[in-house]
Amino acid sequence: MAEKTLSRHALTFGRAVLLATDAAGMKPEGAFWLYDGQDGEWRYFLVSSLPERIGSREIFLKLGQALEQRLSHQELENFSFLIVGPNDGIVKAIRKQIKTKPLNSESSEVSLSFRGERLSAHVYRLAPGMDERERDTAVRRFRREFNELQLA
Amino acid sequence: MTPAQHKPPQSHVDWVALADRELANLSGAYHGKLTNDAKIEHALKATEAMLKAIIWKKNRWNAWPERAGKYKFLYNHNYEVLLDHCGDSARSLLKMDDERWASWQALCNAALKQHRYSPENPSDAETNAVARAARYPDWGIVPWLKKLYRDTP
Repeated sequence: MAEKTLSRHALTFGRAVLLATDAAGMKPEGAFWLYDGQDGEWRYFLVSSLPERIGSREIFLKLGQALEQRLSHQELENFSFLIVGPNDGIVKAIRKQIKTKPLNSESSEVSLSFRGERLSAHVYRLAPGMDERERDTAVRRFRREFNELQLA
Repeated sequence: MTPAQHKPPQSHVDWVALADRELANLSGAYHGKLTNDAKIEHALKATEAMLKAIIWKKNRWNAWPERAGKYKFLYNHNYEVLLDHCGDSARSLLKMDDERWASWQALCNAALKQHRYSPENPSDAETNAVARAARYPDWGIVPWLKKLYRDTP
């Protein structure tokens, strides 16, 4: 199946989501768009150690509300994202091609091989995974930022 | 000894029964201390079975379609696409409740990771989050899909 090009708008919006996610206290270790040939669409991924500590459901709930406050409702209407861990197979495959600084947000295009398929990705950030202490700090920061957002 | 025969669902009622069995297996997985992967698999299978029950009932099919042409989506484990075939208002109804929408996102996330992106072994926290997202009475997805199924003419 011929691959669709990721639009400039999507690329810009992906960066805005990453920055909003940082501002919400999550500071993910990674963020990228990946083309899924099976469904013929680009998917947006956040890479984070937080689900390992608090589960992805809480993150979707709190981050969803935080993004609603920081980005336009119209842009978020049809936007969805996945949360993967820093040691998941797809992340390891991309990390072989690119590593970035922890708070990088400029995108780079890479191609990679995963499960015998050639895939394309636009990577904003792919930093090393957090250790346990950093992860605990990140969980506290994420929950605190969310509580402050609720009070605002 | 003859191996147990796996009988595929023959009707939308069978898909609902399969969802119930998977939820029961999910509870059993906790008592039996099965792996986190197994618990997540039961939660996902229960969700997918209910989505398929609604699609079958809505389309009034006589049999489950073969994996070909426009029906390939039924076999891809993409819950977002399955939801869009559950009726025009299914997605907007689901989005009306933030808690339930978060459960839905957690399940879609787990399904795509499981089937396409090679996740590492899930932690207890993530496993419990996915299990609750599937079965919790107030904001779990399977109970909500059962209601949608009952309301589907």
